[in-house]
Amino acid sequence: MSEVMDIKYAAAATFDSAKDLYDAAGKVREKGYKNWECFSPIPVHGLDAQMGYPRSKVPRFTLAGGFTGFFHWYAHCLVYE
Amino acid sequence: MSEVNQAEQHDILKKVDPAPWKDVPLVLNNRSYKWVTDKICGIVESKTPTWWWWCFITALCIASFTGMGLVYLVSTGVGVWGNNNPVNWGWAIVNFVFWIGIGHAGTLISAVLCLLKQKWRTSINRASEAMTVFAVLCAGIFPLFHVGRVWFAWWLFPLPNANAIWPQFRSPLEWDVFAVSTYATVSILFWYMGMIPDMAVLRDRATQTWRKYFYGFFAMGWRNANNHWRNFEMAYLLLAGLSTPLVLSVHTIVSFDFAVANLPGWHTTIFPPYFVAGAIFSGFGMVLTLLLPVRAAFGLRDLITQKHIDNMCMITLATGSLVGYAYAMEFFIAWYGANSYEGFAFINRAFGNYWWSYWIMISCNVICPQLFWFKKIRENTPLVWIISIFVNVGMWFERFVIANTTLSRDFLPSSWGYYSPTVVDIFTFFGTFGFFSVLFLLFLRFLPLMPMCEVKSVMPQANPHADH
Repeated sequence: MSEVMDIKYAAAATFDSAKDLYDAAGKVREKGYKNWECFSPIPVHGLDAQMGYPRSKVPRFTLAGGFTGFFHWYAHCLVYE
Repeated sequence: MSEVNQAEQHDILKKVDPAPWKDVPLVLNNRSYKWVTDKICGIVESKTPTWWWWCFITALCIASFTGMGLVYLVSTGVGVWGNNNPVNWGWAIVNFVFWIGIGHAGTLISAVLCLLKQKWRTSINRASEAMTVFAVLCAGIFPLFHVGRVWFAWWLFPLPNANAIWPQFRSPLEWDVFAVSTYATVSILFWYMGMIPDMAVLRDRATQTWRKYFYGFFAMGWRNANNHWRNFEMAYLLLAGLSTPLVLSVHTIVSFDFAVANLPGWHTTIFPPYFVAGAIFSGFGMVLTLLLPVRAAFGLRDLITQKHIDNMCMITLATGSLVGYAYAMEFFIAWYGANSYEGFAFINRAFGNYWWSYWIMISCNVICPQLFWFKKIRENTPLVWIISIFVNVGMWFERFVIANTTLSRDFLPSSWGYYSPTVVDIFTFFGTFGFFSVLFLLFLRFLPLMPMCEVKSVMPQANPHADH
């Protein structure tokens, strides 16, 4: 951890490596913070779990889109003949 | 293995003293993240090089040939092409299949290699995806204008209209409409989605206002937050999964254009896998043709390394050999099937009226890539580039051979003919290379050539579990 800024509303810190960020994220989660975020130029492997994020919702939207397409096809090609 | 505890395992390793496994680094010379960012963004941000302008103007001139050819066709009629009875498809289908095939390497690199966790794909996938999108655009021109009255091309889609004209759903040409339009949509989505984090980097570095707006608009508010990354990674994985079947399905359906017809030389079950292998072969040929000069022009030797070139050459070799096997198997089945028409079709291919095109195809597609067995040749970049050109030429001739030998010599000798392209055919096809180059040069100039975030994530610094 190279630098910590302490102001009234928020705190930010910069890290030199993916490992430092990963370790720090674990500590912040353990402290029970609610409103926080990690920024990195690359997706850091395992950081989701380390931050305590649930699984992404993207697959649900994808599945919903798939079903919409399927029913569209079903209604058009099979039912409406 | 699980019963051996870790301490014991380490003791064993000390005793046997294994040779260290040398992972070839994907980014050479221990480059930093900053170097990668500066290198890729620098291509877009620096002053336009003079050679770029020369290439761009030349490409525009060449592209105008397609423009003129199409204007002449629309204003006169589709008869300006050499297609005639019995060769009704002529160059139009050859050029269509040629360009659509080239696109396949992009999808293979971005989707299949992503699912197989092939890390070397990271520095070549963006350019290959761009190649895919542009190649599909070039491919679309030919069937679109072959319909003759291009303003009625929307009839290809099942849209209710006052004339009650409905597409023929039993025709593979109609399946092509859906296969290719799905392919184009998914390829563009994949290409664009991967670019979002890089657009954000360009936005943040931008000094000119138009750049801030341009990249800012397309970056869609990307902030590199982990909350973004986790959705991005999931979406990327899902898109890779969804486009993997497309690698196989699009060229399968393109092969059905031929295989569903009851003509000797076309009506064979080997067509789908043979076409898919050929498409990947031609696509990797084109990736090499495009990226080797780009690598030299922008000094990207640390990012597109010999390992990348080796891998691409070996895929070209593997798919080229598969294609060669398919050529041989077609002959074998023609003999083994004891169908005299089928037998004639193949003897005619090799020794008939178009024998020269058959032997150009064999030498370019089967013999040429065998040179990639040799490390010395794979390391000779100019030679690899020349071989990649031969691959492109050979794959165009493959489609020419398939389409023309069969159509010009069908069941009835009274309807035989000899097809030659007209000058309009030649100009229109020649121009598509210019059209493709115009798009690719614009891509090089304005969009991030490599996915910076993906290149960085295969560098050793990205590992959060490593000691440092």
